[in-house]
Amino acid sequence: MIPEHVTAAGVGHELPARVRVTTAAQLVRYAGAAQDFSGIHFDVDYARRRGFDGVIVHGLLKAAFLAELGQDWAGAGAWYRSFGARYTGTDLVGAPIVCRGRVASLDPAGGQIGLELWTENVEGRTTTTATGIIEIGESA
Amino acid sequence: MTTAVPQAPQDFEECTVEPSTEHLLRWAAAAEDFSPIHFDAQVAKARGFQDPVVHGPWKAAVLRRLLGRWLGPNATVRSMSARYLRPDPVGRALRFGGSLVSTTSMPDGAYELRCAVWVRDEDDRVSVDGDCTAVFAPDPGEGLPLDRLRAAVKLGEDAGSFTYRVESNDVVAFAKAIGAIPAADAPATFFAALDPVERRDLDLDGFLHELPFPMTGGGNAFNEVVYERPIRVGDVITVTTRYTEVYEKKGSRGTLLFRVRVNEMRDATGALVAISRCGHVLSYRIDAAEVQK
Amino acid sequence: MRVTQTNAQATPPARAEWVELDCVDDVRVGDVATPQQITIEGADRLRAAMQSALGDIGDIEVPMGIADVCPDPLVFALQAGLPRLTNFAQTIDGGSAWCDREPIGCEPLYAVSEIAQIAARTTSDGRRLVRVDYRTRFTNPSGVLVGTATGSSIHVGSVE
Repeated sequence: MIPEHVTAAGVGHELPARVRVTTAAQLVRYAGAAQDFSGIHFDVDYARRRGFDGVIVHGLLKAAFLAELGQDWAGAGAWYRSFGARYTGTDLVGAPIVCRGRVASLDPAGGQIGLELWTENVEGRTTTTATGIIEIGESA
Repeated sequence: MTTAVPQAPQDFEECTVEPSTEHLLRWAAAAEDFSPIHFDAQVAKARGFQDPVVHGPWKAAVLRRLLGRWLGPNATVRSMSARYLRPDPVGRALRFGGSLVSTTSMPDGAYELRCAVWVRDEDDRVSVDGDCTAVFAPDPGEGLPLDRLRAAVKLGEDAGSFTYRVESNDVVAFAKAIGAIPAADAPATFFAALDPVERRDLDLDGFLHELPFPMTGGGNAFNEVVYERPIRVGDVITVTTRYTEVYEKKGSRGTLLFRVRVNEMRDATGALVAISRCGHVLSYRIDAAEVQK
Repeated sequence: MRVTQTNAQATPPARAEWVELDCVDDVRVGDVATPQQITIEGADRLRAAMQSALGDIGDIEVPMGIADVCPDPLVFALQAGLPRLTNFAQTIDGGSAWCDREPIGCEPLYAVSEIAQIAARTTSDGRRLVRVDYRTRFTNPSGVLVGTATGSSIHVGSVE
């Protein structure tokens, strides 16, 4: 069942934006939690040798920020039937990441909410684009 | 034309070297071993040797250099050991030789070579006995080794299965790391924490970091997941990884190598929980002029 | 001179196998010397030394490895300050071994030497042999293990 506030918002509605500012400590926490120990996320010399301007945020962490934005807005009982993200730019640690989203589709019969989500970096460039299909409750 | 991997068994071409005092002085300066038993006849005699003796490690160093020539430029010695069985006096000719004992192909397309090496004096007495292990890498060719990579990752086939327990602490740590409130259902991107390749439980293509082309960046290109149900605390998930695509594309910053893999996640009952798809890109600078060499 | 064995049960004494020991005199397994920091300049001297010895055979291009940085593992470990047995009739360098894990860059390396193993056996003519293995681990400034070098000191006792 699609929640009332989602139906009321309708297709095209822009979700309230959320700004995330990462810290080196957060990237270390995420690396441990996700078992992703690539040096580009904590070792600035290594990141530069690999061709980046500095330590960069894990793409999947940005994806997580976007997934949480959509899930929190959809409300209690929301879970993703599908979620996908494409990484089109890098974000350096410490730089604000603006998380935005919009309702892309609504399927009341199937109880599904389609979202488009994206991150914007300090230069206004879109660095991650994501899509997700949310269902409410009743998961197996 | 590709360099063929040496076939075992095979004897190496023997080489004769006569160590002079001058050779050993240079050696002594480099190894910081000026022990007089190598230079002073009286000291040598007092220690029980007829003449000054050649440093054992000097003989090992000659063997190591000869291995470079015997095995060719595609091979890199990974380990070598030498036992110094008999002293050899300075100034007498020594024969250096060995043989390739075995060639074993490895899953990533390279080969492990095992060799025996020796040093003999003019009377054919063995004074040094040793062995070495080397890795033979196939010629890099004109660009990225896509065929070798496809074989190494078993493109199209299941490449490995790994089982992970989803503990409460894991989900709480992940939720806190992404700034979410911990719950019994794991966050939507938690599937990434169960990826055998990210966790280095499955590592079939490490040689991509040892190619003779500078690397100019890379990382995940995309991640997708389809869930039957959320992953939950208490799940015991078996993840099976299959690489589905390997291809290259010329980009503005270099040649891009794409690898796409699919992870199938099933719970303890064998029921499908989720399928994820990950595209990873590595960027290389392949200079056409350099490749002609 | 050929000796005919008349006693079918008389067999030559079996060579005793190496038996591992924790310590001999005051040389103990696990002793660690103060870590050293080494540059790779010495490797160039070594390569020049070998080039002069093998020069007439032609150029042999060998990638830099631990054996260039530590050509004599036994001497290296002793100069690091590890103890050596002294109460033996004869002391010799019994062998060297090198293991390369990562390529060597231009950065300096840390070297930690320790006594890895002590073993003893009796020779067929009744002499006591003690072998002490000195192993040095080389790591780069990022903490990654670059390689190891082991030197074995063999000490021969008098006939008992």
